Amino acid sequence: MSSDTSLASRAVPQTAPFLEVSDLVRHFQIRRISRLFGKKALLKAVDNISFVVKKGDTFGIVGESGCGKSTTARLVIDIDKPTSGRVMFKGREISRLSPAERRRLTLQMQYVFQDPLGALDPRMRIIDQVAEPLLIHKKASGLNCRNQAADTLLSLELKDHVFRRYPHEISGGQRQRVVLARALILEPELLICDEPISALDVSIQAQVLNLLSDLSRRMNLTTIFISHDMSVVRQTCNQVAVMYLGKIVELSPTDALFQSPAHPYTQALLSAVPIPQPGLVRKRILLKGDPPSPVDIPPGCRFHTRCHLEKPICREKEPRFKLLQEGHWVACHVARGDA
Amino acid sequence: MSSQYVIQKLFRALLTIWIIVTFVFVVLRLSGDSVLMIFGPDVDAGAMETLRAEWGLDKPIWQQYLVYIGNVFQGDLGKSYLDGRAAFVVVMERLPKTLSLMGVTAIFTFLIGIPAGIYSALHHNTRTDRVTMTLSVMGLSIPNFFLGVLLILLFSVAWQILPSAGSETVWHYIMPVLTMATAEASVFARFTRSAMLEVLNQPYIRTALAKGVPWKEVVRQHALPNAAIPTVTIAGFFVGSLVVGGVVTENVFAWPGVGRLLVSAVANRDLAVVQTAVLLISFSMVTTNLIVDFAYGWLDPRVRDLRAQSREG
Amino acid sequence: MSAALFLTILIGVALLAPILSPNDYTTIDLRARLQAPVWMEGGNWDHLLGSDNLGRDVLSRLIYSIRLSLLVAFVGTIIGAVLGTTLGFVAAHFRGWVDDIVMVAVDFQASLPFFIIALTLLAFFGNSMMLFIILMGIYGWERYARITRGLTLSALTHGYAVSVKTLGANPKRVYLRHILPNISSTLIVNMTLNFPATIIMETSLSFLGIGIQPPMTSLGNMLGFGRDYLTTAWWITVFPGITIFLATLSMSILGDWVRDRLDPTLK
Repeated sequence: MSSDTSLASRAVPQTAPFLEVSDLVRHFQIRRISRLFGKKALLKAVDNISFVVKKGDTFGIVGESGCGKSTTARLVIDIDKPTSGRVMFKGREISRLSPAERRRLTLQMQYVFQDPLGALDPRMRIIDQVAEPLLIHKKASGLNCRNQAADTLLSLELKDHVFRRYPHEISGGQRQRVVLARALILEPELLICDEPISALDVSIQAQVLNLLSDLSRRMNLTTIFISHDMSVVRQTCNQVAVMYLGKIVELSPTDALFQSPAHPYTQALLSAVPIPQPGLVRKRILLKGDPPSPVDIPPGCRFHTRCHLEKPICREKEPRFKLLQEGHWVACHVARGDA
Repeated sequence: MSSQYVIQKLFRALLTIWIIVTFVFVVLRLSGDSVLMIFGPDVDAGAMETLRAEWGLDKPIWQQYLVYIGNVFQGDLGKSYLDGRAAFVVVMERLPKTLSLMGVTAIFTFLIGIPAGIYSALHHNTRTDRVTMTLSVMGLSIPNFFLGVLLILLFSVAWQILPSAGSETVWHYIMPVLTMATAEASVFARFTRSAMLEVLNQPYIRTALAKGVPWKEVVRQHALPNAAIPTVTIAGFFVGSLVVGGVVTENVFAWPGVGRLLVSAVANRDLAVVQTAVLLISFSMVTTNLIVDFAYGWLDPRVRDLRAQSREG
Repeated sequence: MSAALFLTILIGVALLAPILSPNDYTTIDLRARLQAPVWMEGGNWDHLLGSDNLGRDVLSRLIYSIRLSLLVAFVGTIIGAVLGTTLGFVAAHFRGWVDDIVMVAVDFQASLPFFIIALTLLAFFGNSMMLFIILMGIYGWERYARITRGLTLSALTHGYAVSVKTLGANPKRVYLRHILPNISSTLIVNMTLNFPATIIMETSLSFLGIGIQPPMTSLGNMLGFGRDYLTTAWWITVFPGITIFLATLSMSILGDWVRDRLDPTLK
């Protein structure tokens, strides 16, 4: 599969891609509860994925819970180590960096957590938490750090009365902006957001999203955006990868994906997204059955048990990535090139 | 209760016993000459060498270790030099008195502590509740040796109605049991009270009441059994504090049990007896904890699954 | 807040012992043996709370005993807290076999009443002040270790510890600047529980004659020596006893109050 996707990067001038993930695998060993000496089960959270993110992209990864998107994010930011495969940032493999280089990496790559309350230290004031990254990397003296933190917070439209408060004293939307501020204060080049707005009220989601796109443009930020919400991804991303049970099933520029989804799973996901057009009649594709457990992955194409377009070959052979149109890849036996 | 749980707990118990025996062995070796330990300080130098060879004390340390373990499990723990007889015998003959004291204390603890706690919980925030809780805080703050001394002052010295030493008659039991049971009952009262309060606050209690089940039934069928589960967990601590309390109480009242023996052995450095008593106490505690674990696993199905799950990657 | 007041008085007494004490606590005056306290028949102002079997002043001995017992309990609590917390961090940080060893040690310590362990060690190694202080220090370390390890593990796997690490913080910063302040309230509550327990442990051992040895005087050994004179001179035992009781009681009350104030779940 890696040879297929790197075809895409070879079409571009020969500089190392901004971020490249190759054959990334993350398996977890879990012990079965029932028998004392039973076989150890393998949870395949991420099962061999590859993709490329170009500088300036907003790359979305979508899928239902348990598909491996959060694990992927953690592997990219190096919170977790892969079982095999590589994550290469600007041509350097991140697991091979020296400690000093690894520290410099944190200046270039940052992460926004899903749960803003959990990501903040309950006992530190907001302003101190946002200033802390500067202190860690000794970018400025104490007072200067706080000034810079204040500036960043203001740019995220947080008023100064928030600065001296504690995390539990401010609203969810404010918290998420604080976490963003903290991640952005080091002016990273790559920002990985794991469901950054899922914990927020719908009314606040739009506000935070707009802020995020503004900032990305102004800071020339490349973003990886993890979400289960297709409509949000459509709005913010220019590239989308759809994941299912640890594998990428479809990879495409956003417009192409939403206009002509090739993979049956993508089609089902999209059919569930409400479109504000009263009177529009659509066919809702319902997936059969429950998602299989990542410990017990079906043979052949892992989606076949729920697929509405299933054919006999799907039960036997795992589909390889094939290129449908420019930049639009799909892993499916049934998807047609001219869909 | 899954077999995995049983095996796990058994394994932990055996491991603990092994560590304790090793600990005693190490302490024994570190503290000096074990010929002294076995035969007392009056052995002359020449005989010591012979005895050392006889006992294999010139052999490499790991061999001594194995010999030691063998001895322990055969009950050969050396001779009490104060007494002259085998340490094992000396300790064992004192055991019944200690057990009887602990047993009677336990009975009174349960009879007084648990109902008091339950009653307090059911009458939460009333004057009875507050009085009971104040009494129990005081009960567990007073050091048991002081309480014993006060009781002696009152009943033996001032009023002269109870004996202050020995263990022959029923009357001799009253003050020691009172001394120990006060602290223990206070602990149980507080604990059962908070266990009951926590259970009573649960949604399923409110549901039962909303369904129209009479209060008494709710308490009997839902509250009490669920409150019993955490109470089982302190059974292990309870035995531990009975042991410790017993040691001190026996000394205050000159009660001829293992505790009194142990303290005099420590003071006189009669190491064989100390070793024996400590091993005896340890084994009983490990066994008690094991029983408590099994009881807990049998009573609460959530626990065993939770414990098994927590070991996952 | 009489509990706090009492404790402050005790601490004051402990600190100012040499100034407050009317007599040297070791002065033996056999002519004044077993003298009753001043308000009873046979008492006089030389010995406000009476004298013991060697004519030593009970009040002075009481004052110095308070000092020693409090000192031992205080030092012991601190040592236990630092030791236990550090081991808890170490176990949580390194996991693997290091964690296993620490947990086995915790289990061992928790499976036997510390009293018995202390007795064993005192028997085998003889009773020295050094050993005794060490014993008081390790009394209860396993509670701190368990608490620290548990809370650290949960902080490490999800939450601010992970996020601070992605910001580039090194482990030392994570533990000292972030995790420790957040778990400190639980640890402090544990200390307030541990302190009275340490006092009881020390006084019990001293009472039995295997703790603090003469000529040093502690609340426990005053009680122990006085046991033999209950019929003739109850004051030798009662005053130290009341002191111990009130000290532990006020510490417990204070501990409850601290726990209510610091309990994060009540926030």
